[in-house]
Amino acid sequence: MSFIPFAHALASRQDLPIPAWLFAWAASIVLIVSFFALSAAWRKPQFEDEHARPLGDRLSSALLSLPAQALYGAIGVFLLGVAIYAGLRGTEAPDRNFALTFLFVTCWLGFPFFSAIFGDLFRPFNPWRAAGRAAGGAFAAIARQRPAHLPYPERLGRWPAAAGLLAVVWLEVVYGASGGVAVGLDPHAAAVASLIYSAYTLAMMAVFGTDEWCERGEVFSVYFGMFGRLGIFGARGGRLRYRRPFAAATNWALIPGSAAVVIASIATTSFDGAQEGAFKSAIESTFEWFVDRGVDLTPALRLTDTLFMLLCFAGVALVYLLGVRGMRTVPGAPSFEKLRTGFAHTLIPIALAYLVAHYFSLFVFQEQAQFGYLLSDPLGTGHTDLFGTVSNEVDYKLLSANAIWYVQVAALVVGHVIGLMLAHDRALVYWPDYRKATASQYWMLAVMVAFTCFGLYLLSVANG
Amino acid sequence: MLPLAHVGHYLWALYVIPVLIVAASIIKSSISQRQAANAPPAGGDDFEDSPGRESPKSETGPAG
Repeated sequence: MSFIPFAHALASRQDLPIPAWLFAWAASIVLIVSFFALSAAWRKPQFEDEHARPLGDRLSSALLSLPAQALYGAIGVFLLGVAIYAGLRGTEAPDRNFALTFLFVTCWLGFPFFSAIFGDLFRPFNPWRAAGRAAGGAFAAIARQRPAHLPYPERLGRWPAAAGLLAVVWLEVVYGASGGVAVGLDPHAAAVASLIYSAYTLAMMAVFGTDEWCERGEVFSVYFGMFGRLGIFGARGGRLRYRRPFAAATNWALIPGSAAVVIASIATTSFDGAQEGAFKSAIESTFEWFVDRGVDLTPALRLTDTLFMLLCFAGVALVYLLGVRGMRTVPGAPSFEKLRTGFAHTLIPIALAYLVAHYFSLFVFQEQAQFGYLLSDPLGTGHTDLFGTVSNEVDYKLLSANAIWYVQVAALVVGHVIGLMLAHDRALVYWPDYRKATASQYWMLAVMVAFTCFGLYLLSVANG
Repeated sequence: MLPLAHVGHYLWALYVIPVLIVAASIIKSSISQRQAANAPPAGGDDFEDSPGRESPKSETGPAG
């Protein structure tokens, strides 16, 4: 049995021409230069309008037709079914079972990565949305009326999705405590969690309506859809549209709780990166403190990790809110609430940058397993070879350690520059005088520099 | 003898320096702007604020 010799994005770095901390300095300089370039050259908002252009009628009709949508949904339901079945009936070895890599790498990382380029790819394949729509359609056909739903509480907003996002990551990195494999969760536990989540989601869709729940409460729809707002394609009014990159993100955060979703994304990625690196000794000390007070080992470890994950959430939220508080001091600033909501979308590229930086190498390596031996032998029993690829192995030489590091640095810098750009653009809406808009963005510059340096520090410690 | 064996524990400080520089620049800039805004209007100074006119200091960077 092969054993994947890395936990998440860990890879030893080799022979960098300059010390890792100098990359943080260089990245900060890039951000500062970008900030002044934006201040000088960008004096009118560019992203408030998506500038959407419809794609060809035939293409839209073909891709968005009812049979096509039914097919996408059926594929989603089928793959979720395979993952659950593999988890329940397959091997307990995490790296040989289709379920874990499919759920936590291919979907969990693949949808954000590709949605950020092409738009929300999860929506058509969402198995719960497909099931909810099918059930709603069947109900309407039988009862000859549309199903009645309760109104969704406006104040609840996306908070259920934010809490769910924390829960999903908790399940993987705290409950599963990886221990040297890519995804350390027990496949059976992942399958049971998927079944529970499916029941919960379908119940919520029955209560509040499929589209309403997908827009606000369904963790994966909200999370993947958030990254999809950066992408260049979207569907509206039954037509596919090409839109200006990043522009659809500008109105994403208007629903309450959206900021918590994107902050949870950054915080959980940070925690996962810091767990075995920057926070290691602090986690060990806290763990020992709990053990000394009579808490059993496993609960003590989970309690400690949960505490640090929540601390990461609080820390990221604090940095963002300090930036917002700073903007509030600029004359003509709107209310704190409005600023907090209005700038939350600027964190989406940062969340994506953190994901790419921390998991890019994991994704590249694990997808070789996904489309190799895991696809041919989903249960990991060693008795099936569906596509003749069961003997394919992961090529760890595909990416050098230095190449991974440069991708990580580039992802963080580009992500934060885009965040800065979106923040500057939004500031020009709130402060039509570009000088005041620029003054307000000093604070967001500090937020971006802080997140960049923190991200690079986490990576440097984890890789070191 | 210098305790260089443990210098690795303090490498985080090198990552904090850029953040501190930017934060200090912002605070300095904010204080300057606030002082300029609170200063009583007086004639003769080419760079005093006047109603409807932005302070030149607001056009400078954080360190300005």
